[in-house]
Amino acid sequence: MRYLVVDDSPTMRRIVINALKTFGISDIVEAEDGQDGFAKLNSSKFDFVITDWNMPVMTGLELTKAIRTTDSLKHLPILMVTTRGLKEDIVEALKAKVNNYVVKPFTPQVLKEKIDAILKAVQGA
Amino acid sequence: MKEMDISDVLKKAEELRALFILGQRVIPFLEEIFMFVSEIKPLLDEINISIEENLKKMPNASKQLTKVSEATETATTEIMDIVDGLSYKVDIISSNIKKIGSSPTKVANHFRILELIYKAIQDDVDVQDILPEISNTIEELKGDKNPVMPDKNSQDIIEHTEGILQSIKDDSMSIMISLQVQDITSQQIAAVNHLLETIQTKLEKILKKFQSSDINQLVIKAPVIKEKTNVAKMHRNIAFDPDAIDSITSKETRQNDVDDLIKMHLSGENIDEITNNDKIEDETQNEVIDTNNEIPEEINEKVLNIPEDIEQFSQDDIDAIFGK
Repeated sequence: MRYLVVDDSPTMRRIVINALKTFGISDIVEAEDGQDGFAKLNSSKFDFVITDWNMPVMTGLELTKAIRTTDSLKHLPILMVTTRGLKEDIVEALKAKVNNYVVKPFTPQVLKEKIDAILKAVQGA
Repeated sequence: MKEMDISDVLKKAEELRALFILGQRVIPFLEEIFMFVSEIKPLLDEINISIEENLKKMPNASKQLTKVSEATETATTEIMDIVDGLSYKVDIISSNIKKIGSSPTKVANHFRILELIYKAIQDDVDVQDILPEISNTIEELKGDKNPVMPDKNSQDIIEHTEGILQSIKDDSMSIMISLQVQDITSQQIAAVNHLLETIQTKLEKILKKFQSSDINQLVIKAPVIKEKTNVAKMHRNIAFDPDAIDSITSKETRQNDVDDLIKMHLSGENIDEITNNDKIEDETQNEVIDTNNEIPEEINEKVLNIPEDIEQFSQDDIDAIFGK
């Protein structure tokens, strides 16, 4: 499975990628903002998207909406990983149809748990 | 003179008299106003000077904050490089220990094979002459190699060492995870920078109104943000989140709350009414989207029972909505 990690912070991208590698996931591509991520999604096949929310140019929420309105991408599992933890934020993310939501700072166990839950739900559907 | 003209004149005179009386009453107020304005003029001048001085300092303050973000990112990257290096070295040590642990066993196996072969051929008439030589050779080899059978104590030490190495790897991962604080703080610094920029713009406008001097002479040119540094881009439109820093200490409860909310959403409950803001309007959300990852759109009153004072959601809250 190929994973796309979208975050404007190089530190966070590295942390997420390191965590994914401990789970045995090695096919990972990075993007530095939503626009970069969307371009990559349209040029290669991906199986999972992990995205931050607060990013310049195109936010993670905008990326999610763009994915869900693109026929070839709308079925992609999306995990939002962000510092935003207000009720309103989560509601907004749910309306944009993210599959799950992780607040920073997170532990690798939580990240794995959410990824596994999403994949289980997708395979069950 | 006609009677009408005289009455007109009297009327006008009366009006003038009333005007003078009003004037007499108003004059003290006017005097007070003039005194007030002359008193506050020095204060206004002081405010002007203060605005000017602070306006000069703001670009520098913003620049300093940007430097802080850049410095923390550099330090974080260095720490991550070192941690990655440590993990690599630990992997090598672990691999070497495994080899050491299996080496005596391999050697012992080789000798066992030799002994089995010796046993198999010792009854063969054709090799009786050379049997003593074969036996001596095996004994010599045993003596040279001096294989140390992996006794229980050695195995324990090897296992214990492997356990410590795994613990070092876990600690390395913990360090990496803790470095998330750099991203959180840099976002807040970017938000403060954005706020400073906004204040600077407002102050410039105020100064323009009170002064005729060229603003450009007062304001130091804004620092150029290096494009390769993403952490403090001024155009990041981020709302200041006072809870973001607290999230570091309350990470578990925040995630729990978020998980609960998501679980509720997935169980079909109406989430629209749990926010105090107006309903979020977004045209794209009105499109019918057929996905394999369908999430029910309505969440019912269960979500409304969430205590009002809980605004920040933990992962468990989210899990409750999305469902584990």
